Amino acid sequence: MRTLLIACGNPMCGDDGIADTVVALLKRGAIHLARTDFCSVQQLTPELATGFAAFGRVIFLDADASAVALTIVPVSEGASIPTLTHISSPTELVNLARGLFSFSGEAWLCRIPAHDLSFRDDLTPKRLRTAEKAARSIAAFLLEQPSSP
Amino acid sequence: MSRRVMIEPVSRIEGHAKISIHLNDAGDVEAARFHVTEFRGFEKFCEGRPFEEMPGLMSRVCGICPVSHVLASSKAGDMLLGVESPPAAVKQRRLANYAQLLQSHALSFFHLSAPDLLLGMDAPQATRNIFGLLEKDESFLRRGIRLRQFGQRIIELVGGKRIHPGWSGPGGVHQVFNIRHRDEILAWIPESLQSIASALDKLKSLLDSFRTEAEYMGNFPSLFLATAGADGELEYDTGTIRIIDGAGNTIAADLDSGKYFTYLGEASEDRSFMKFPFYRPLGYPEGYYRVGPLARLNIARRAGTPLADPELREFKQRGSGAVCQSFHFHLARLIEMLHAVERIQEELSDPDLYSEPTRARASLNRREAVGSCEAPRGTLFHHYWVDENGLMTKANLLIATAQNNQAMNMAVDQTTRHFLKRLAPGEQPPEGILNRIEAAIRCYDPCLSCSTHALGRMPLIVEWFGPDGSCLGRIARGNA
Repeated sequence: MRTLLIACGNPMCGDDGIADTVVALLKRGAIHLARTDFCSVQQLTPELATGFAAFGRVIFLDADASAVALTIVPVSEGASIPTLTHISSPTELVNLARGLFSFSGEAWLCRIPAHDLSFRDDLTPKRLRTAEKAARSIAAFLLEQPSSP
Repeated sequence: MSRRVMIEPVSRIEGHAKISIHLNDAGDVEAARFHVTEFRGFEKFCEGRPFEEMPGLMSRVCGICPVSHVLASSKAGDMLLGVESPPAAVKQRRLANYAQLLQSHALSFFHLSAPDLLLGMDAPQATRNIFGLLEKDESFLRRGIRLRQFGQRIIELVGGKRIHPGWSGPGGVHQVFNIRHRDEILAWIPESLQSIASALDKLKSLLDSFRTEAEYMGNFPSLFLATAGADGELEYDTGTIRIIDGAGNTIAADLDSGKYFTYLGEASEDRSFMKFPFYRPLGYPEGYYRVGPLARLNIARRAGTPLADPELREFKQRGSGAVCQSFHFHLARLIEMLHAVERIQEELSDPDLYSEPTRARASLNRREAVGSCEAPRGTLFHHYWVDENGLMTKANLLIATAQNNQAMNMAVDQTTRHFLKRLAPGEQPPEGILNRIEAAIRCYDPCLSCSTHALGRMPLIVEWFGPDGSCLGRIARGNA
């Protein structure tokens, strides 16, 4: 079974794009993440759900201005009321993937602390340190919890 | 005493808006208005930029219909250079435009409006969404998501990315379309045609249960404006502008889109950041008109593709000369999706699509230019002025949704007058009625972020006001 890492955020909005930086670090990192696919999107859209069934585990990476520390938690899959239109939440996507596209794997949400969400696309030292720490944590998570066969 | 009821935000539309409902002393609805409270300022902050940057900038106007803005902007750039784009560029742009039509209409129908149509206007708000559809008809929802995915995939293959593709610019496009992509796209065609046909059957089977909505949610004669092909066929790229009235009479034909300003004017109202375009010979507000799927199907004499042609003939029988019910925008959208998939299949067999060169090169040859195309929501105009160095001095964007502004106001007014009628003191409008008022706007599938070219997000709130302007009540809807 494979893992799909989905980085969500706008790389031109400072730390909002930190998940994209994390994915870039993981792709070229020293730790080889076997059977892991990467995806970077600015927004989660319903169409992403169509491809989940090919994976045993999906992990959403997202910047969170309210998070004080990096967390990796299961995606809540209770009833959700979508309030937006072409944009989905991880919960909505997983619900769609399970209900419509035969996804039966695990779904996790990794929240990465974000501080500066201003219009900028440079990689500040602080952002790089945060991203490196997040990459190490995610790699450790993947190695400690291999996806179910 | 008179009261004003506000619906703010309007849910399941792109962007943010509010509706104000004005009640007289007896509580009867006197008027209802549609307000757009976003302001974006694209026309202003592109001043001073090189015109070559404009397609990339303009694609950021909208995340739903960026291709339309890229195309209109590119065509304005073509005109500034004084060139004709090579056949490869023309074909790639057309292919991307059809793909965008498909994905945008799929979003509008399956995600935004289908909850009302399949679950009912009075279904509980908590379940009147795509997850309610998941319970009601999962195959319907699956087809809708796949259709949008198909359209987006084509855009990605042609333009390099699904959202904000930057492959087109003044003079042409930046890359050759790889013929290897053809088979991938062709493989989707049968499923897509089947899905749209199924959705058409489903919608037609439901229309009888929405007779009242079709009659009173924005049913009024108006002018209609759209691009028309040389033989009167549906056309979304090149052609001339045609205008008809609500009885189907041709008011103006063979109009040059590059001279839109000679026959279209734009008025402003204090209550909204969105402009009110009008047909100049009739003045404002009498010269208001509608654009988009309803207008295009009213104006076209034929679709020009084998599956869409009979659907268009059947569609035209729903009106006398022209179909005037706003409710039938939904049906028009599905027919356009069918036509778009047929055209996509045709375009893929054209060798020019894969040819070179892809770009014509020249220096600045004009200081003013207009590019236009049919966006999913209607006719789009980009009008640019540049200085001798090719730097933008001024831009005017006439967006489809803005051209439907007056009609949306009338639809809201008519819907509110019919379904709400009266509100007793202290009473709140029933949720199903509020939903119908919003649904009247959803018929037009407005893209408000486009049409006010908004910083940030605005919570939208329903408010009641007395004749003295005091707020008597408030309801928060959508994502407030």
